Amino acid sequence: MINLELSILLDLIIPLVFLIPIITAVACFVCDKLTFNRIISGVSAFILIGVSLVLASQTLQSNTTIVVQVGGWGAPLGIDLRVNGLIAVMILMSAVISTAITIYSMQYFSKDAIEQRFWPLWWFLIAAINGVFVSSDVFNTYIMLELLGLSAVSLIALQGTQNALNAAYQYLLVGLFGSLLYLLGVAILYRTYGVLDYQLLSLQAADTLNTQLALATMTLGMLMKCALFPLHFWLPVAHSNASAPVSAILSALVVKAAFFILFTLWFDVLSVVVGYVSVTLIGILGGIAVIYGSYRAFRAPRLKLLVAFSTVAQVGYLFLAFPLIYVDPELARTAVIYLIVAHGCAKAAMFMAAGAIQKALGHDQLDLIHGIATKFPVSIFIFAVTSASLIGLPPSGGFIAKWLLLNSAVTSHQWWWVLILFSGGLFACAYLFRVLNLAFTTSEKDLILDTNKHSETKLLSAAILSGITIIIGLNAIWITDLIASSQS
Amino acid sequence: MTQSELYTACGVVLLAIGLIGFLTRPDFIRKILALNVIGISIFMLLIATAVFDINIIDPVPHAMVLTGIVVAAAGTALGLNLASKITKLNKSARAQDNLPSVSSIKSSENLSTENQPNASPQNKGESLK
Repeated sequence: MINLELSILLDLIIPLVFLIPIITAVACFVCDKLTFNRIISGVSAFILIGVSLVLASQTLQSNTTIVVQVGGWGAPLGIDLRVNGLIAVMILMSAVISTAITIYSMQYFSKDAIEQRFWPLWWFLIAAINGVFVSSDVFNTYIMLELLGLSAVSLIALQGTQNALNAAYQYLLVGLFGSLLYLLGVAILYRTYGVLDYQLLSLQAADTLNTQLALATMTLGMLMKCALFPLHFWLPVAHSNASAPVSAILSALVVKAAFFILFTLWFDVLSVVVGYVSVTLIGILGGIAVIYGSYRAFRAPRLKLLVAFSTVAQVGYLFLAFPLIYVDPELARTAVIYLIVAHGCAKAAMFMAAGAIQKALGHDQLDLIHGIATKFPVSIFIFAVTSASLIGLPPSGGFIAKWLLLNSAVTSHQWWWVLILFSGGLFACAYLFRVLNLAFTTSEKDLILDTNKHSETKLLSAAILSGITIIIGLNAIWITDLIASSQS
Repeated sequence: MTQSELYTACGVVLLAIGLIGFLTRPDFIRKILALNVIGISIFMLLIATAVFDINIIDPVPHAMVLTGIVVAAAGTALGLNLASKITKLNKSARAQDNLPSVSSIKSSENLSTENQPNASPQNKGESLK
């Protein structure tokens, strides 16, 4: 039982996960002193971790969904925010990863002119990610999606090179089109049921053609934003041409926010219309994404492009879980949460390490990185540790996630997914060991380093993130029990 | 045919026009215009639900459409700004190299491979002003 005082406190705390980043963004925009921006960013990032820890401890212990009626209006007319165990884990993950990247970016830009414009956009992006997680209303989610898309596009464009601008423009078109498809679904739902709130919708939703159409358009829109296999074309370009902190958050959190919306729609809000055929179709696309993404990563000529294609493959695993959740919700849900957190931490750390290498070398061509392990010991260490999690080697978080998926595939009598899970792990070995192999071979010619920019101290937070990917693997039983109990 | 049905029909026709425009036209400005047409068609579909009786008008679709218009304006502004930046960069690159433009959005999968260490030194320093 939550006593009265605590519930009032929680009512105040939930809006904070959105308000703190927004206030920080505005403060960074108004004040153009770089030191001030950095200090306020650091402070807000740590406050955000504190807030999300309080939320996580409350919701995971008491198994409750906390609903806040913003302005006291209540569901049909007003906007509700809600936090349950799953959302609290997502918010905690987003707080930890964004804090790590915030600390990294303070040193990454090294007083570039770009940094002035980076901070406000950065905090708008974090606000939008948290907004997507806490929002409990299909239209409010659309607003958060647009804020997410616009700030992400601007962050890519900040890089200013022609490739980055082209990638940003393409990402903008894909993002706007995806959000409009989602909005079309919202319009159909509102015309049919006259409500927007998740809970009211899930109570009223019936298996009709309208609901199916709405879910289909919303799914198509979100699949574009998640970059599932046939719609992945924009992701490698956008993620590999952005600056390193931006690539890190795009792969670790932005893709997950779109996935989270899809997940909520399919298994919470409109679950009445979800059938075996549709989940299997999504699962097949996920399987193709795992194989194709890994293949392209193996053939990638640049380090950041390789990491970006690895995101395409890892997103495939998330969708592979859809047919498993349909048959066996408990186990596969826990697996998905694990996969999201493990991949988020690992991919963020990996992009940060790749960014440090690219910054010092001035490029990230894989042909020219022979023997960098001696010059970049910390970066390669982080790359190796996070690789273990992406491949799914024990005792990493990625291993636990894949183990749970395998278990769930066997218990739900869908053994064919096991084949993809195994071969996906092998392919991941192939492309990640390709980098490590190059890094440890001695080069014929000397590496040309920009000594001013060659510093690995900024990778401290990345090292902590890569540590987290291992720690969540070691405490697996405790964490899975916690997550499983909060779902029931 | 009631007014609401007329609005719905117009919304669907506009949606079709917007989709065709967005998916078939390659150039920058047309794609952004097509996205706006799609947006307006969805707003029409929403507005059409507001009146279910002359005396009872539902305010929620109005609120949604107003918010949607603001978002669409922001997206359009960003898109046009990016398009003009890309065109300027292309022009300056062409003036320096006397080479044909490389900024076809279709060939973007290969774009990432173009980022050779010494391929485009003139782009490296240029940041978004």
